[in-house]
Amino acid sequence: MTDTRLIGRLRQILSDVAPELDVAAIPDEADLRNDIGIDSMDFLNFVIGISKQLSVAIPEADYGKITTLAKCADYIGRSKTVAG
Amino acid sequence: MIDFRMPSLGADMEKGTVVEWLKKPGDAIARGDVVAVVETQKGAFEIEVFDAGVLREILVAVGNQAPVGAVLARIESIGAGVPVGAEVPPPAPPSPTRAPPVALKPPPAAPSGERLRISPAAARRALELGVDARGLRGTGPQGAITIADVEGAAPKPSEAPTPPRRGFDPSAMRQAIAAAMARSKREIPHYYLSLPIDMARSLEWMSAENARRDVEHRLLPAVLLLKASALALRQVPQLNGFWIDGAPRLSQAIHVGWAISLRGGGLMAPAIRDADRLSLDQAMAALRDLVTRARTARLRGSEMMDPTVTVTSLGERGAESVLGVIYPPQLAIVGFGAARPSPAVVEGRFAVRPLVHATLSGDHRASDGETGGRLLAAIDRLLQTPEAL
Repeated sequence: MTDTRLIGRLRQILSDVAPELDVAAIPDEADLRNDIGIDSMDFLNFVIGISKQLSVAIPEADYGKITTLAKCADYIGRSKTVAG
Repeated sequence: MIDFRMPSLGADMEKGTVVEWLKKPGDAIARGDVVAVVETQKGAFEIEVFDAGVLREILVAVGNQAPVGAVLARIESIGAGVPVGAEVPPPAPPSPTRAPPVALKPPPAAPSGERLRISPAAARRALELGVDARGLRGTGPQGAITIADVEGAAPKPSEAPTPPRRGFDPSAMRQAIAAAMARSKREIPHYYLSLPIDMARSLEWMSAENARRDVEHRLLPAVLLLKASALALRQVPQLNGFWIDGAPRLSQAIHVGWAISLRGGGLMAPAIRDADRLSLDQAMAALRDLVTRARTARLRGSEMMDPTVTVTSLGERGAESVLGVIYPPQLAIVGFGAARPSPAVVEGRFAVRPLVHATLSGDHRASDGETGGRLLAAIDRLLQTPEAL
């Protein structure tokens, strides 16, 4: 199940990190690092943006679980559920 | 009286266009003030002076082009020091030519006969808001378009398009890189060395460190490579500096030009100043700031002029190694490939370790392979004790 509103917010965070990207054109299932050209600094800034705006701190060990916008939304959805 | 000259923001720059004066005649200038914005093939840069004084005369008006070394303005000095660009030998007498009209990249539309009067801040806002500034009536001095004019013309938030990307002209950037790299290969007899470095200790230390840090203070492997390279150059200073007038000129300060690739093509290597003296946290903050500003065209001219060496890291997903081309007139470029689990021999046994191929391209006029080899060995040693970086 994919939360389209959450994905929209993730797109906005990604756009803040990489304003020169056309984030609207990034497919939900695209690999941000391999397909979109997000580098490790952008990715860290993306994770920081998620922490600030969505109050979800993603441990480095879980970076492999948030490689696409869809996976990232699922991950955040689950951590919010667990957190109550 | 001090001549404020068009600075050389790299070996590839021949001329620049003044797109803004931030000071006017009679204004007091403090050391480090940005006085002008200059547009080059690599985008717009803020130009500072390193001297206190009073701006007396502007010789090259906004919108005009001038060669490197041309006097842009005269400053009456009230202190010792050197303005940016003063070290550049003056070439042929300045002959400013009329430049193409605007600093911002307008969308294709009706050609405009006269130059657009708009401040870079307003131009930036126009780009952000997706407003074609050329259609606007300016209410500022001499009809200049102000931020308020731009904002007044912007579509309401609900109908605002995605902000267009502020950036650079990829074909001009390509030309600039072509000129610098062709010069490098024409003039510099490169030698190349490489050394696989076991990153296990560094990466384990960093993972443990990051696990106990909050998100905003996490480190990246790049910062360890940066710091190790800078500290190694302290031990092997023969590779830090420039080749000028047929002789090496070594630099005491270690200003690492960090290669940053720009989306849409192109490359810059602005300076992380005194990288050997920064803590890892400071270096991380400097790196993040530099990457962000490089990609949003907000670098200072001095950051392009300062590097005494270049370091290029391909990141975790790139190629295994890079044999870099030296950025003239520098003496060396250090390269790092992607860290990959690879077979290695550790204490006489095969083991799988994360190896990074470190490389060095050195100017053979200034140093020999033996010296270069010592630099790579020093980087290796430093990365085995990451907690000491």
